[in-house]
Amino acid sequence: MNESALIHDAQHGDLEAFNRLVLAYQDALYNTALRILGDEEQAADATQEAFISAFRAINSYRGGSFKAWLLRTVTNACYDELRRQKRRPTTPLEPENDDDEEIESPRWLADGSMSPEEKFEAAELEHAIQHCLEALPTDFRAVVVLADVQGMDYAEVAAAVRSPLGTVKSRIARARLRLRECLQDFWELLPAAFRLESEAAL
Amino acid sequence: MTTPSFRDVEQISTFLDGKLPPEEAARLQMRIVADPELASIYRQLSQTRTLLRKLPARRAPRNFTLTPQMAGVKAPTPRSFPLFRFASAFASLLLMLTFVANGLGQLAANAPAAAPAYGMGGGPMTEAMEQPAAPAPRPQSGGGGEGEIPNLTAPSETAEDSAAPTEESMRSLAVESTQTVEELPAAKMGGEEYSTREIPQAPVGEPFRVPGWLQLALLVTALLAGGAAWFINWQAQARFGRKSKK
Repeated sequence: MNESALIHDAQHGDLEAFNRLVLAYQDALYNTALRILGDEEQAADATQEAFISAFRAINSYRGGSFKAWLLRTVTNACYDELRRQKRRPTTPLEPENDDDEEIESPRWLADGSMSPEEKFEAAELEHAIQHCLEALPTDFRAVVVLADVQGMDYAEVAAAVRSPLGTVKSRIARARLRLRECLQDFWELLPAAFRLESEAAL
Repeated sequence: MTTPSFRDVEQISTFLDGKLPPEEAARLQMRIVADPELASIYRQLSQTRTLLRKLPARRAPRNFTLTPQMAGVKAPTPRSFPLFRFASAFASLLLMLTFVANGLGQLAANAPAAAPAYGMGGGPMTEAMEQPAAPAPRPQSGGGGEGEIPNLTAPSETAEDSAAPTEESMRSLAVESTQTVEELPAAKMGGEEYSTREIPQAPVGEPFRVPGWLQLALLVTALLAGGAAWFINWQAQARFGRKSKK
């Protein structure tokens, strides 16, 4: 895929060329939206909105990483979605019992439908991380998703969230600290390899 | 051992991403080795970062490709489309102008014809007065044109002279009077031979008319160009629709 040629064609209104770019990046955008929003349907909506916005604004793309540019659009779409959620609050994150108290161990942490053990563990881990991500303030969540989940450069993250580089560094550090604190509650769920990995690296 | 500040945490985080300048990185590494608190923070942040990076990538539940409707894209119109459209519109306009011109020409031709009729008679021209303008058949009965003039006056004289006109003379008078009404203008010209065809008529100019063949040509051009523009556009839309469905 000649990305530059496709972008050039898309900038001249070639929808087919743009759709080839969509197919190349839709997983990355969907994953980013999913990690920021924590809901599959909302993530799909945000991804679609992001691609529509990207096509309409493609002439404003001035080179650089196209993936980073697309991730910026999806981040904006997620911010919009989160703002909408604030205006119309939804059900609480943690399921509640009959006495309106949060269940200690939510049902999603013990989903019996996943029979293979490895899948189960992976799902548990993913859920735990997602839970902790959603507990972060929106700005922290976006930068840590872009930097750690999508592996974006600091400069790209700064461009995506339109914040200074120093702010981005600071937010990433704070987000990692908070995530670490949150994940302490689920540490027994994590594979031993994760716990030992960083110690070995030092 | 010191309590790590947030500045230390930030440096460790940046170091994990390989974004710390080499000198600072070397200094920080030495501090981490020497300080168990910093080493603990380093481990915690590193583990967290590793966990996030190992999050399974989900596949998009569907394709997010855009349809022309979603993107607000219209089918590109061929270059010839505006040309045909313009030709059709222009021919239609010209055709309408020809009708207007014909109407105006007819009006202009009628206007001078009506004006003298008012001037001569002092009143509106009646149908009977207009008729002489058309070639009227000359009456066959009663002899030639010369003999009619005495006939015209004779009945009136006879009527005046005769105190009791006979029934026959009354009938013939009625017939002749109707005949002479048409001949009256000629009679009033002092007995001069002046046929109804030669009566001076209003100066009716030949009304301006756009030739019919030109109107027909414009009509055909408008229809053909319009049809061609529609067909070209329809074809482009159909091609665009097929392309976007693929």
